Amino acid sequence: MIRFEQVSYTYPSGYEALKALSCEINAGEYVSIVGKAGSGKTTFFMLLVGLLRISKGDLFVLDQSLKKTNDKQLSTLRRKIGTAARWLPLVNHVSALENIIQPLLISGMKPLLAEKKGKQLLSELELGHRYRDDVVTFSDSEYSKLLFARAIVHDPLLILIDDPFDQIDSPTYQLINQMLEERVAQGVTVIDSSRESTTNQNRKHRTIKLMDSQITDDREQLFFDISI
Amino acid sequence: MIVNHSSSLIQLKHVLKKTRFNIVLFMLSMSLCFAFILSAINLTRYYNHHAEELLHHIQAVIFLNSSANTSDVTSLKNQLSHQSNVTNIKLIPKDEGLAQLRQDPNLTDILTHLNNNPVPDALIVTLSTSNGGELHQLLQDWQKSPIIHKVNIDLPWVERTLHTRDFINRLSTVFVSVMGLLLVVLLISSIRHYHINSREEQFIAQCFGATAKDIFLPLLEIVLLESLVVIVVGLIVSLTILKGLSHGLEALFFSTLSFNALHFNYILFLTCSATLFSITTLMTFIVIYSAPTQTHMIKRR
Repeated sequence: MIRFEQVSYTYPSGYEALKALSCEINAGEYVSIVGKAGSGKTTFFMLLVGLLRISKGDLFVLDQSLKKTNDKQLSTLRRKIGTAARWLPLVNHVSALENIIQPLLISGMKPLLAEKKGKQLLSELELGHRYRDDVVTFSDSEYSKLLFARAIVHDPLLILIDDPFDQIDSPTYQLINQMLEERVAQGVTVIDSSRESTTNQNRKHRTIKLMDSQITDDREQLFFDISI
Repeated sequence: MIVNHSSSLIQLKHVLKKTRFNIVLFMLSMSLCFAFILSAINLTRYYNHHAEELLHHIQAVIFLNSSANTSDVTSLKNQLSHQSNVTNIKLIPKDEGLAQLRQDPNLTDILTHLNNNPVPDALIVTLSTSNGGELHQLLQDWQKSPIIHKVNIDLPWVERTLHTRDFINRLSTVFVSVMGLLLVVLLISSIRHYHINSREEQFIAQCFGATAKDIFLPLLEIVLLESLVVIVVGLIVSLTILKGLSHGLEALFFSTLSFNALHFNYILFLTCSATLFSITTLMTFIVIYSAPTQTHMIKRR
């Protein structure tokens, strides 16, 4: 599904954000990328979406080499990826529904069908009554829910979550986690970089630790419900 | 022409909501430029038509020598009729000439004391020319004829008419060029305005798989629609300007500025519109592809 082969990325300023990164993520895996600020997490996600071009090495996303893709192939690939991140904000002064159905419209779904699906998803996220409201009127927690909704509405094969949930409350976090787990069970790959490195839910959860632009740890972990 | 590009139109709808007043200002400015261009071209055509009418009906009076007989006159008439600039020749025999002069009350006293008819035979020659030098040469050639006594023509007036026509054409060219340049500058500003204000939306759409065509075509549609509004408003303003000037022009030049194919050329209007659409498409393409969106331009919440 995803394969980093000695991938390095250097920003135009000369800062090397990732150094010779190698790892493999299979379909249906839930992987957390953890690391302190500046360790390269966001660069990692931007490379996966193809927003940054790798400096060295090769990167395969959904078994397609990003080094050899043209713009059209990249666009097709991006339609299979859902991204929830603060660096991919919602469009202000446009309604919640119009924001979250963008991926559906881009992939060619008819507007009426897209709106129906969008409303259904908003209802699942307890925002169904606010689908017409402009996103500037939403709280941080609700905003995070919308980011998540936009990332999953088009049933992508790969979901990327780059730290959009630091402002959400616990019930929302649990709801989102539940929805993610349902998708993982269906074979969708999820990669997140939430600063939450521990959870209070039962799940098999692989963690990749980044430090100083390199992977320093990569392990499967089991977390147990601390209430047991 | 407007196809379903809802995804990108969602992005642009946001731009329209955000910048409505700016868009209205741009469109108003461009409409005025277009109106001035149309009006200037039509007024120039009107004056050129008027000048052409005048220059096709220049009258010269050729006074013949008193020694010229009937065969000389006939020969001269034939010679003149073969010249390309001459459109009409009318002979005024001396008796008719005298009779015409007698109709002028100021000359009655003088003419009653004349014993013989001093008025020579005259030829009223109607000329058509658009070249003062050519006319001057023609008059010099006539003056050499042994049977011609004098040629009367208001040459300064002809030259003034020609110079005025040329000056108005040059002035119009400069004015239309400047207005055209201003229109193009405003068009580029308008396109840039759309592009810059929709950069965030374009970036987001690209991240979810929108192609360059998905981004470009809706923006082009919006800009062409704006151009259509500019053309329609410009046409209405232009017609209003021309209608307002119509009476004044009629009083000055004694010919009407009526809105028929002769004066208001619809083919010209369509040509101007097609040119505007072509420039719009080209400028949209250049602006979008010369300024790609970078991630650091995106505002995060």
